Amino acid sequence: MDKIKILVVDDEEGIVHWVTNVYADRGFLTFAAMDGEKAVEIFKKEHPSIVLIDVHMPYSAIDGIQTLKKIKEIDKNTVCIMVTRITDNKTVEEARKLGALHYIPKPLTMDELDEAINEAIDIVKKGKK
Amino acid sequence: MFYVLGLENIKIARIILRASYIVAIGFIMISFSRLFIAGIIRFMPESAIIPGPLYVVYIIYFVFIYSYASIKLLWRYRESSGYFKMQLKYIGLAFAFATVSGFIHFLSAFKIKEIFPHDILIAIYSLIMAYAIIRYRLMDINRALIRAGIFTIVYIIVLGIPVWIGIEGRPFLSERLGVNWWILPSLLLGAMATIGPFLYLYLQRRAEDVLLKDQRRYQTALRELSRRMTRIRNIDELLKAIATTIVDTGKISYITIYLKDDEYKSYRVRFSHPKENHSHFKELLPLNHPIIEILYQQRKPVLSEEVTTINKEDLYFSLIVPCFMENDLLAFIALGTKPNNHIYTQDDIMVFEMLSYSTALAIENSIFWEEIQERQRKERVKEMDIYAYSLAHEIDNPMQVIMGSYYNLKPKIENSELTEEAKKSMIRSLEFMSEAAIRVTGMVEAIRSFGSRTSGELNPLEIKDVVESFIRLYTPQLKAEKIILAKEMPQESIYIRGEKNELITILINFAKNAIHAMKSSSEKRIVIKAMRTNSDFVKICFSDTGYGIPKEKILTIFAPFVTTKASTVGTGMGLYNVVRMARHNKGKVWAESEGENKGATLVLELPIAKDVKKEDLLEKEDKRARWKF
Repeated sequence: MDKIKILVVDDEEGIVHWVTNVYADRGFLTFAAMDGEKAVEIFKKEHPSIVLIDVHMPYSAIDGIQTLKKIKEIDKNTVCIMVTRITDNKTVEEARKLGALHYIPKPLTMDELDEAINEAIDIVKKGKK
Repeated sequence: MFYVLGLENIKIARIILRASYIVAIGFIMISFSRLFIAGIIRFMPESAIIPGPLYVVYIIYFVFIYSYASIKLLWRYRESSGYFKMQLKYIGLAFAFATVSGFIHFLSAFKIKEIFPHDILIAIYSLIMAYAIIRYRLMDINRALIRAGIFTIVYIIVLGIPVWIGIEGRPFLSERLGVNWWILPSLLLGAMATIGPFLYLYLQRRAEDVLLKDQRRYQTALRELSRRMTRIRNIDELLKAIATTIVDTGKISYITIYLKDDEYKSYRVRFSHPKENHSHFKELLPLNHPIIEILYQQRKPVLSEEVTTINKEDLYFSLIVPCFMENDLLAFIALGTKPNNHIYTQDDIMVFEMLSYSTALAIENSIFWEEIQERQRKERVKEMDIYAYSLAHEIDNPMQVIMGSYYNLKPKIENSELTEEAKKSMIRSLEFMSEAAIRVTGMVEAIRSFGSRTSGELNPLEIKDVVESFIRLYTPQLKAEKIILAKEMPQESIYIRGEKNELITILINFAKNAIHAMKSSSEKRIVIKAMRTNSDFVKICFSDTGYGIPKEKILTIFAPFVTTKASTVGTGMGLYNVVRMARHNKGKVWAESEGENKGATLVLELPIAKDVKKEDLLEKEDKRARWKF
């Protein structure tokens, strides 16, 4: 069976490094993007089934919500998890409408991240069957 | 007549008034001549006079002047309002009696029997005038009496001495001066008559100086205040200056100053002096309250006698002074009684009227100044918010990296081929790093929420929700101190307008105070009770079983730098900040305690927002919630 591909999008390199490393150690194929455009580019090439997106990326040409939108346009079955510090209702509602699975507030803990990723994996596995 | 015609500012009325004086003097001079009264009939069957030819002229004069004055009076009465109208009513009534009495008397001269003794009507006329003078202040009775007294005494002396010399000293003078003995008393009479008016004026001035000493003193003080107060920019300081000057110099029993409060659509007490006098007013008076309507109609000081429609429980006052800025009633000042229940004279009322103009100006000035400061403060707070937010983000991300690195490295170290001891030491170091990062994150969160705390806006809230939020937030601390918490909430929903974070901070400060007060109590219990004070206010009472507050400290506990704690523990600023926050939420805080070791109750009272409905409440936001769609 092919390894499940996870794409991590965050403008903070340390966070991307941490998340990709942890899940790579657990046997997933992980990709890192530091901005929205790069994320879409990798997505087109690699077609990951799970994408973890930081909403707030001030230095990126497109922000997290737009990245989510573009990815969903390419493949609406992609399981997307949003990560952010800002949890205003408008953004949450937008993410929900665009079909995000989870919305996790920062600061991230391993438990919260694991819980969300495990659920995503279940969905991906069911979809493959 | 003098009163009525003297009021008229028309030249013709003044001319008629003066002419009538001359005619009257003329009639006095001829009153003993047979041209005026030809004779007197005694007891046949009643006393009457036989009119002379000029008597008819006199009647025509009387009818003309009385009719003219009556028409003027009626006309004036219809145009006037309030207090002045009452004065005119009584004068008119007295006038009517005098006229009827006059006519009855005239008719008797033409052999028409008096249907009613005219002397009784004259007496009634005098009584009504006397009543009006006292009750409706037609004139300041003290001043009138003193003036009349001085006048009488001066002229008895001035005219009496020469006459006395003339009568008693005649034999003596005749002996010395012969036929021309009268020259000396006459010269004396002339000299005395010349000195007389000066002496009279001098004495009158001295008497009034003594009589009106207090009044002049406080009128001067009020004028001084008018000049001074436009320079005071803080509204509370301004009102305090006004109130204390009026009460202290005028010895007025109390003063209450109401200010228009747009947010609550009412006039609200902003200052009251002396403080303990709470029974004579309501805190809030709606914009359409009868007294407000009266003030809008009159636009000048109103005496309590002028208004009968006001419920004395709403507002009890002797004089009420409105402060208008153009067409807007900004504020009004309710005054108690003067010392010894003396009346407010027209002079007083005039001074208060002058004062009210400068007060309105000063209030407008300080409100404007306050608004500018508030705007500046809000801008600063907004800047701080943005700064705090971006700071939080900038700190958060690196902290997240440190925590994440711990998650990343921990399994790698565990699975490495290092010695157990080395693994343990490395993991311990990583844990220290991670814990430190979590601490910093928590601090950032606190700063961030403090930043959003002072947005300055008052939002619709439910009182229960505020208390519940506080309890949720603070239960862990209370548990740690082994304190039992009980709450009593009202059944109904009571809405207020406030800033939730500030209100919670007030309760947290109450709690901190209670925790400290109960440090050595055997029973540690806090009761939070929310209830209506009356239809306008709701209060949250926060009772503890701590060491209580000594009586002498109960009023000062909320002042800055006052602390019940040992000086190393408290800055004394906590409860003072509470006052500031309460004031921002249009509320009040105070303390109640039965005395030492009997516990204390801190009370936060807020105005009920009657126009708020359930659907106005902001959506509850739980920032830490995880969202799963």
